[in-house]
Amino acid sequence: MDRWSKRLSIRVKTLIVILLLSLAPQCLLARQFYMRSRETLTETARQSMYQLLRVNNERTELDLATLHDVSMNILVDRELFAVFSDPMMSDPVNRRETEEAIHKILLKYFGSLPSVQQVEIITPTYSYVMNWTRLAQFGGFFQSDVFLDVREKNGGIAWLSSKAMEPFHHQKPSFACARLLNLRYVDDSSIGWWLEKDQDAVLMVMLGEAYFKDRLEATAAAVPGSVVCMVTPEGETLVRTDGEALDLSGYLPEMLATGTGMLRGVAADGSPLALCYDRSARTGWFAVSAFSVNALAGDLSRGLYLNMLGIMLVMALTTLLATGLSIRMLTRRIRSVSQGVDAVKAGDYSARIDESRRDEFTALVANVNAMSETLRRLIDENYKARIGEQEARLTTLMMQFNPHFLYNTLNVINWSVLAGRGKEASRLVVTLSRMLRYTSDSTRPVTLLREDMEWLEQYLFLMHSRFEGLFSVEWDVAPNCLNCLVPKLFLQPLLENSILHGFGGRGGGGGEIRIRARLDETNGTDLIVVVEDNGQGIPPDKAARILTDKRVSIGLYNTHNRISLMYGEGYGLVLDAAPGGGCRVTARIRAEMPTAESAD
Amino acid sequence: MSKRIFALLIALFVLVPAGFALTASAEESVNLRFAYWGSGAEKEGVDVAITEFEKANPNIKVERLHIPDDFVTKLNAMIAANEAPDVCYSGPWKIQLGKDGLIYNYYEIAELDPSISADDVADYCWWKWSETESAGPYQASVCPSLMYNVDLFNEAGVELPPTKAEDAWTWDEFVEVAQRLTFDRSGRNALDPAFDPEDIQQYGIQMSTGWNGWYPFVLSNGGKYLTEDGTAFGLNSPEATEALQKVADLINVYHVHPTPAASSTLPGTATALQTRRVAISIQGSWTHADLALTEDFNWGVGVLPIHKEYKSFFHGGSLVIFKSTKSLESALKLHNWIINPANVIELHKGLWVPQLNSWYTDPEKIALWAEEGTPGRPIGFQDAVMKSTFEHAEPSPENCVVNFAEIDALVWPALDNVWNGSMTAQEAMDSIADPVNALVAGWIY
Repeated sequence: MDRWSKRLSIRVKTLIVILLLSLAPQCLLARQFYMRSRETLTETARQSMYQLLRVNNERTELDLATLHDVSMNILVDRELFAVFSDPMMSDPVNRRETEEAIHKILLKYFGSLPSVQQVEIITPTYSYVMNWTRLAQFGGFFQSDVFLDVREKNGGIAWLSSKAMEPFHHQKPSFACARLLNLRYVDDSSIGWWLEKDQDAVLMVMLGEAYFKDRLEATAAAVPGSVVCMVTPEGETLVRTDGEALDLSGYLPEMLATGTGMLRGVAADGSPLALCYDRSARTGWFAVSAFSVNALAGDLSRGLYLNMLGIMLVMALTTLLATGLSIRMLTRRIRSVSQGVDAVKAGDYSARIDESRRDEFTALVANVNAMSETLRRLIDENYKARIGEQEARLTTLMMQFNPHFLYNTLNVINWSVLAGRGKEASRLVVTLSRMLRYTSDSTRPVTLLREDMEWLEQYLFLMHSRFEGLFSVEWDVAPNCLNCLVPKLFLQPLLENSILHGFGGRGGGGGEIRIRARLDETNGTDLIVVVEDNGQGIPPDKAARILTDKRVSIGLYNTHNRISLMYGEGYGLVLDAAPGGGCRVTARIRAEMPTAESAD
Repeated sequence: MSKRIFALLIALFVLVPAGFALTASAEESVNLRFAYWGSGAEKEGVDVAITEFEKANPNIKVERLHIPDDFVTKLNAMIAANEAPDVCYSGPWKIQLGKDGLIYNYYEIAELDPSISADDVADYCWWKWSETESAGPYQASVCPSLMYNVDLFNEAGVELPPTKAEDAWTWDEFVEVAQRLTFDRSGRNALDPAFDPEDIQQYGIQMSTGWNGWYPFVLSNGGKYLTEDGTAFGLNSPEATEALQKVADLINVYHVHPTPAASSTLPGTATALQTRRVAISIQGSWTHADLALTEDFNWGVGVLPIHKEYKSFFHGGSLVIFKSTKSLESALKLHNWIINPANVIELHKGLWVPQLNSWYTDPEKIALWAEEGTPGRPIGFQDAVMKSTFEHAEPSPENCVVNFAEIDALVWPALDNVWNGSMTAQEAMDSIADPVNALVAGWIY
C-alpha cells in the first residue's frame, strides 16, 4: 500500500480521496432519498386509501340508516298492526290471506331497497316472506342465540353477520338485520298503544354481498393489488374483494381500541402490509383495506434506482471535473515555479519567475527569485570576478612566459651580440631583465599608469630593436592620469596588435602609433586610453567579432574581458577605424587613485 | 440531591397520569337524544340553548332530532323500535304516555337536578296525568292578552284600555269601546244608527274563538269547564253560557267582531292590528313576538274585560323524559336547562312568558324579560299582562280537565253554531252535554 501510495502522483491521490469523500455522502443521500420516496408513496397511497374507505363507509352508513329507519317505520304500520291484531291471523285456514297481506306490506317497505335478498316476519308457527322464493329456513330460530340477542334489544335493531345466519340460510347472505316485531298503533291524535301479542315475532331482513361489494370494489380499485373487506369485531369476514384472504386477528385489538385509522402490518410472506380501517357506528363492523407495500413500491424502485444512478453518475463526473481543474491550476503553478528553478539550474542566473500573480505561491516565487538573484550576484561578483582574476593572472602569466616574445627578444639580443653591438646587447638584456622583473611580480594586478608606461617604453624599445624603423610612438598622457591605477600590462596587447597586425604587412616604415590617455570629461570617473595607429586597420567583419571571439585576437579578447570583469559593464575595449585608416582601440577603465594601502 | 429530584420526577410521572385516569373516569361522556318541532325564532332559540348546554356540560353531547312533520308517528316508531329519545317535546298525548308508564313522573326525579325547584313553578303550570304524577312543568307559558292599535284609539278619541286589573272594563264598557272603534266603509262607527254591518272596514275587536279566547270570560262570570266537583260538564251552566253568548253577541248583535266568514279574510293578528282592520285583539301572548317585529307601529296592551271578577290563566307545552333514557340525571339537566327562562331569554321577550314564580317577583329577573319600552314589551306590559295574569291565574282547562282533548273536540264544533248565530250558547252546550258527560272523568287537579 505504501509503495502504491508513493508511486501515485498528488493529482491522482487527490482525485481518489475527493471521489471517495464525496461519493460516501452521495450514497447516503441517495439511499435516504429512496427510502423517503418510498415512504411518501406508501403514505400517500395509504392516506388516499383511508380517505376513500371513510367516504365509502359514510355512504354505507347512510344506506344502513335507511335500513334502520325503514325497519323502524314498519313497526307503526297500521295495516301490519291490523293483520297482527286479528285473532284469526295465526289460524292456518287464513294463512293464504295473511301471507298475501304481509307480503304486500313488506314489499311496500323493502321492495325498492338495494341488495335485499329476502325479508321475513318469523313467528313460531310460520314465516311470512316478501319474496316467494324462500332462501332460509327458520326452524329452531326461537331457541337460538340470534333470537335471544334480538329479543334483548326489544325492538331495537340487531345487525347479524353471515356466520350468525349460517344455521338458517341456504345461500350465505352477507349479513342481516332484525328487530323484535313490537307493533304500535298510531292515529292522528293519540300517542298509540302496543299490540297485545300472544307470541313473539321477528322482522328479519337478509342482504346479499352486493350491498357492500360495489363500494368495496371501488375502494380496492384505487390501489392495484389491494384487498378490501368487511369484518366483524370477532374477526369474521362478511364480504371481501378478490384477492388473498387476510388474517386480521392480530390487528383486531388495536382496531377495536381506536375505531378508525391506519396500521402497518405483515403479510403472510413477511412483506410489509399497509392497512386502513374504519368502523361503522351503526353495526360496529370494520371496513378494512390492505395492500402490499412492496408491490406498490415495485415500480417506484426501478424508476428510482435508475434516477439515483444517473444522479450519482452526474455528481461523480462533476466532482472529477472540478477536482481535475483545480489540480491543474495547482500543478501549473508549481510547474512554472519549477521551470524557473530549472532555468537557473541550467546557468541562466538572471532568469526570474513571473511575479505578477498574487496567490499562495507568491511568497515562494519571490523567495526563489531572490535566491536566483543572490546566486547571480555571487557568481558574477565573486566567482566570475575570481575567475577573471585567475584568468588575468593566467594571461599575465602567459604573457610573462610568452615564448614568442622571449624568443624574439633573445633573437634580437643574439643578433646584437653576434653583431658585436655589446652595449646594445647589454641594454637589451637589462631592459628585458627589468621587464621580466616587472611582469613576474604578480602580486598586484593593478599598477600605476606611470609605472605601466615605463614598462611599455621598455617594451617599445625592444620592439624598436626588433622592427627597426617600422614605427614611431607618440605619447599624449594627461598629467592627472599618471597616478591612476590600471590593470597591469593592459596596453601591451593593444600595442602588440598595432605593431604586428597593423603594420604587419607594410614593411617600409612610417608607422605611427599614438597613445593618448586622459580622464573622461563627461563623468570624471573614467580613464580613457586610446591607442591609434595608421596601419592597415582591421577588416570590418573581424572587427565586429574581435571582442567576442577569442580566435581573432586572443590578446584583445582577454584584455577586454579582463577590464570588463574588473570594472564591470561599460568598461573594456572599443574597436573602430582610425581617422587615417588604421586601427583605433579605445580602452575605458575606471579612474581609481591609489589609497594608502594600494600605494607602493 | 439529584437522587431526590429523580425520585420526585418518578413520583410525578406515576401520579399525574393516575390522577388523569381517575378524573377522566369520573366524568364519562353521555349522549342524549332530543326530539322537537318548531321553526323560525323558536327553533333557533332552542338550538342556541342546547349549544350553550353542551358548552356548560362538556361531557354531554346532545343529538338533535328535529321533526317538523308527523311528530307523533315518528315518535311512536321510535318507541316501537326501542329507540325513544331521552327528552322531547310533547302534546296532550303525554298524558297517555304517562299512564302507559313510558315517561318519568317529574315529581319523583326533580331533586336530581336542583337548577329548577319544583316549588318555584307557578301554580297550575304543570302537565299532570294524576294529582301526584306530572310529565313536568311548562316548558314556558303563554296567556290570553289584550292588544290594541294606539293610533286608532287616539284618532277616535277613545281612552286607552286600562292596564291594571282593578281598573278593568266591565263587559258593557268593553262593548261600547268596541263600538266606537268599529267603522263601516263610510266612516260611521257602530254606535251610529246608519252604521252598515254588511260593509265593515275596521272591527273594534277580534278574539280567538278557541278556549284560550272565551274561557277567561266564562271564569270571570263564575262559570267553569266542569262542575265544581268535576262530575259533569260545566259549560252549559247559566254563568258559562251567558259569557259565551256575550262573546257571540259581539259578532251578531253589536257587529264589532268579524263573523267566522269575515275572519277567514282577515290577516294574522299583528298584521290585522297594524293595517287597521282590527282595533283590539284578544289572542295568545305569543303574538307579542310578531308585534315586536313590526316597524313604526304604535301598539299597546291592556287588561281583559271582566264580568264579575278578573280571571285569567297561563297555558303551555311541556317536555317529557322517557323512562328508557340511559342517563336520567343528564336528561333532567338538559330538560331543566331548556325550560329555564335564563337560557332562552330572547324568546321570553315576546314569544313566551316565564313559568317560574321567581321571575314574577324578583325585580332583577323581571328586568330581563319584561322591560317596558322594548319591542316586545310596550309600556304598561308589567301591569296589564304580567301582574294581572300572575295574580289572577286559574288552571288552564287543558291541564286540569281529564279527557280535555276529547271533550274539547265536541265543544268547539258546537260553539261554531253559536258564533254563526244559528244557536244560542245554551242550546249549543246543552246539545253536547250528554256525549261530553260520557267523557267527563273529573279534574286532574
